[in-house]
Amino acid sequence: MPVAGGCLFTGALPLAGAGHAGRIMKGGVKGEFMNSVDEIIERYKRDVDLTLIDAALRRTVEERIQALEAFERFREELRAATERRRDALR
Amino acid sequence: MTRFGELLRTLAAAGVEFIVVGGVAAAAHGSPRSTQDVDVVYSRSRQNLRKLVDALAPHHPYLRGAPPGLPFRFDVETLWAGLNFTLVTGLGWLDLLGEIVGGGRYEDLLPHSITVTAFAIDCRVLDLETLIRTKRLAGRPKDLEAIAELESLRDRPER
Repeated sequence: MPVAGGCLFTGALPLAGAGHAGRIMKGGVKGEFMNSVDEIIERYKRDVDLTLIDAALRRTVEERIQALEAFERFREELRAATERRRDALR
Repeated sequence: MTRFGELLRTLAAAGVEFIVVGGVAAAAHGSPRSTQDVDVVYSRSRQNLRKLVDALAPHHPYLRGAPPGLPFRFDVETLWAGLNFTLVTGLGWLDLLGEIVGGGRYEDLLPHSITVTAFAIDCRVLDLETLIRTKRLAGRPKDLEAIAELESLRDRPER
C-alpha cells in the first residue's frame, strides 16, 4: 500500500538494518525513508510488546474489557490527583 | 469515564442489532491497547433505530464536544437523517456508526463478526481479520501502530 506523497520520513524511527538506511535528508538531518505502509507497519511490529499481548490472551473477553475500565478509572484518578496538587500549589 | 460493560449490556438488553468495532473489539481479541470509547456499527432498520433510542434515551445521549444547549434530539428521525454519531452518554462515550470505511454497513459486516459472551450477554464483535483489514483500508496514519499490534496478536501461537 503506497503512502500518499510517495514516501514517509521517519526521523523518529531509525531503521537500522532495513536495507535502505542512512540516506541523508536535506539540511543535514540523517534519516531514512519508508516507501509503503507495509514497511511502516513492519517497523512498528519490532516494538510490539508481546508479553502484554500474551497476558491479555490469558484473560477472558470479559476480563479484557474490565481491564479497559480499570485503566480508565486509574487515568481519571490520576488526572484528579494532578489537578488537586496543581490547585494546592496555586 | 466510559463503563464499557454497562454500555454493551444496555444495548444488548434492548435487543439492539450492533457489532462492536474499534478499540473495544481490539481489546476483546486480546489487544492491550487502551481506548476511551465504545464504537459500534448499528443496523439502520427503523425498528433497530427505535430500539437504540429506547435503550439510550435514559442515559441522555448528547453530541460529544458540542457546546451545551444545542437543540439535539436523540430520536428515530435524527438517527435516520444522520449516519455516524459521536456521543457522550451517562454511561460514557459511544460512537454509533452507520458504516465504516472499508467495511460497509451492519449487514456487510455481519458475516465478518463473531459472537462473544461477556457481562452476561452475547454480543457481536468484528472478527480480527476484518478489524485489521478495515483499519488498513481506512488509511489513517494513527492506526498504523495499532495494525502492527493486531497483526502481531493474530500471529501469536497462543491464540
